[in-house]
Amino acid sequence: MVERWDADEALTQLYHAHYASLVRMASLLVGHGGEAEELVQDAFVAMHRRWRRLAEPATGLAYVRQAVINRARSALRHRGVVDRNRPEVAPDIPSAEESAAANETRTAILTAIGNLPQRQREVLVLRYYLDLSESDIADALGIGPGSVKSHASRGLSAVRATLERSR
Amino acid sequence: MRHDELEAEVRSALRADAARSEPAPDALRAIRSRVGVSRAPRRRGPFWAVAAAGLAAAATITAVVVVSNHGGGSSPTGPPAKTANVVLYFVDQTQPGAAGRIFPERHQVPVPSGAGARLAAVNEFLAGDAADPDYASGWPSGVTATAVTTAGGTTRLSLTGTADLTRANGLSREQAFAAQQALLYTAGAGRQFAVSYNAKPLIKLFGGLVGTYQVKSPWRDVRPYVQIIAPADGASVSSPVTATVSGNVFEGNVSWVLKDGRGKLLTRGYVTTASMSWRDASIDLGHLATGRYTLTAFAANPGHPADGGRYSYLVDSTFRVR
Repeated sequence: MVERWDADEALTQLYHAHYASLVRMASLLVGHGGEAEELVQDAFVAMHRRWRRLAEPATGLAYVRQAVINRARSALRHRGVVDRNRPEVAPDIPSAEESAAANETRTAILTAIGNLPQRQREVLVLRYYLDLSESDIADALGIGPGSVKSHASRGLSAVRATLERSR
Repeated sequence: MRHDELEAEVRSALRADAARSEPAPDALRAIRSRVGVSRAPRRRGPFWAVAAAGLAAAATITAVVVVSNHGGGSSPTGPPAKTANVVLYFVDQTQPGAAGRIFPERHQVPVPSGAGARLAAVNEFLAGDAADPDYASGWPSGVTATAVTTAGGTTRLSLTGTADLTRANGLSREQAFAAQQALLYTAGAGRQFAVSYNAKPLIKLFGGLVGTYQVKSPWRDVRPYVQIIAPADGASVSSPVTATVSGNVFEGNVSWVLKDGRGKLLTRGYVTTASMSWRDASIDLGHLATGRYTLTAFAANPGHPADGGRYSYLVDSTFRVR
């Protein structure tokens, strides 16, 4: 039998299990800095408030995820500048463990993802950072599974093209 | 590079980049201290001081309320943006019984240079990012507004985009109606609208004919069956607290629940409003200590069959007692 959480318990449990990964996901969407953390906290606060209607951990997590994405979009729109939705690219400093070539590839990929249309970028982040299924991505973004496939395919093709140009 | 190799590279790059963000260790405490707050504090400006005017009243005013320079842009490094406090109208995605109704929500939107606040409001609406994730615009993504002008009693709204707006896009007839009305209510105070899409009159919308001139339905035809008029969501009030709920439900019975900022049930009850029309009812919440509270109201006996008959038309308001 599944134990029913109250709102406080849900907040605590979902926070410990998912807060860090959601902040990192948000940072991939809006860039690094306090803003990503702020909007994830907003989403957790909203989830707590709505817990009576959510009631289940899976529903609560889906709600938080969707709320983070909505708030990330809103934050990007509020910036109102041309390069508003490009995540920062990691500094081009090769670490001891990786070759300069690997670092270049990573930088090229992040630049390419940063230049993608918003929806494609969201799909790639949810798919390859959070490892969500197509149906979970569809739910989080409010689109159909077919659209998830096409956005992922187009996004990856664009990343591939960038990589090939950079070589 | 093979497909699976490309995927592995993308996964690796995203993880490495994400790892640069280290969440603050005391974030849970920060969230707990804010529990009961539904919107980011930055969205609250002086506008909230007059929020007690109520949602029904908000429906009758134009989308533009105040234009101010409060640096509403959320980029910490960007230039201060001119912002406007507006009322947007959304459809409820989660309660089938609420289809056909539109729900006002206050937003602070950036107003680009050279654009009007109403245009900014419509674009915020079309982007569909309601503060409450249960709400949505109902419009497909990829549609933006380029102009909103009013002359001779007609508001002209120019939209552009790539989406096919003639198709139902999965909307039921009631949802399509609500999505159309939500746009018109967001776009301004006038009653008659001429909407163009990619420079052509938008005559067919979401599977139905809307005609050259679209007409805003009377508020009673789109008004939520249950609303919390006061305290308005985000309001700050003094104790003792009297709430006002508006209802048009079976036998007029609206149930309500009051919880504190931590979600603990404090008290509950019901009030009699009206059926077949709307009537306000007062709820004496008594003396409340300083803090945040959430009042939830809904129709309980019976709820809409489409919602399982348990309860429906659920709305809530989070407010602060000074």
